[in-house]
Amino acid sequence: MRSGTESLSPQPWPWPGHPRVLIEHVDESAGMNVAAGLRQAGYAVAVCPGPTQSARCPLAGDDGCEVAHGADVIVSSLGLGTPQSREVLEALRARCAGIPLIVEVAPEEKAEWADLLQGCEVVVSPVAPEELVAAVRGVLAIRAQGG
Amino acid sequence: MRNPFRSETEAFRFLLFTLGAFAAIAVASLLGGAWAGVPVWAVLTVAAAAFYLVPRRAAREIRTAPPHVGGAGERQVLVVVDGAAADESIVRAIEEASTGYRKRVLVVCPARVSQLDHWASAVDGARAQAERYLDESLACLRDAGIKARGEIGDEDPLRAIEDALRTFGADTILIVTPPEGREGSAARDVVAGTRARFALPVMRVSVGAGATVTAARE
Repeated sequence: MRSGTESLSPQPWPWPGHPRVLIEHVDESAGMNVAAGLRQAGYAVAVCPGPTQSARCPLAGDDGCEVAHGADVIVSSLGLGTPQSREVLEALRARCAGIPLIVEVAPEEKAEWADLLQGCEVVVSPVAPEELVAAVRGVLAIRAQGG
Repeated sequence: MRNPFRSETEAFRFLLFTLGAFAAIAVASLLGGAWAGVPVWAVLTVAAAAFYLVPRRAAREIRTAPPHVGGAGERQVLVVVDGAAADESIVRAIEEASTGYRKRVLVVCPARVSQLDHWASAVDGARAQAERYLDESLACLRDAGIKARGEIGDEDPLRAIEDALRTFGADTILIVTPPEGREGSAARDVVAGTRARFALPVMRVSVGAGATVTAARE
């Protein structure tokens, strides 16, 4: 995830009472579509385009990410094809361990990166926004039951 | 530009900086003679000017949006009136954004102030102009049969939008700007900044453009 700490609002999630979903998506319009679906379902959303070639995800460094730490669910659609995207997933697993993590992967990635995906809710792409909404509802329900 | 007197915290920080600067100049003069304080003064002045005057880069790339509020058949439209009162083009843009839905409309008019007024805290003129734009915009919507409520926003349009979104779950943001070619870079920056900051469809509506509505993603 890219850093934006300096210009972030004092409250990155200023909507109390609504579950907050962080969407990580490399494709801007696809990320916006997912966000629109989740908003309609009553979730506050944040869309992150993921790390760039030159900027490391702050979550993988010392900075941390206020938005990720404040989320109730994280949806990662960054793929696992690059070292940067795998580093983000590792950082999410390590530093946001208590937050349900839904990872969208290509069919061939599911088996190849099985260890990395352990403990994550895995959805195989292509995923329709309504499927992601259902997955978010599912992990939040499990969390509410103490799972 | 940052106003050092914008809040108590900023004013207190400015006071501490000023005291620290005077102390540094005094120490330099005591240790190195009367003229030794001059370069210290110059360096500190340049540093302070850079801190307060150089615009900060909008580094935020994580975009946020509030949850949709209301039923599935409802659309909430946030209209930001920036630099010109809305005319009939906003009516068409609202209809486009909410066709087939019940609509709720909030009009926000940032009380833009010049840099000089900002420093002098002389905001009455800006507020009066914002109120005029707001009244004219609401009247335009009322004439078209669109019920809307309105409010004056922060002098920083992006902050005004952020404030509005805390309580208004907008599905679309429409930004009213002066006519194409006369809007100036500030208005273009607001449109670009809004798109960069919020995970919502953002459309620019140029006053006097007739049916022209700039697409959400140019």
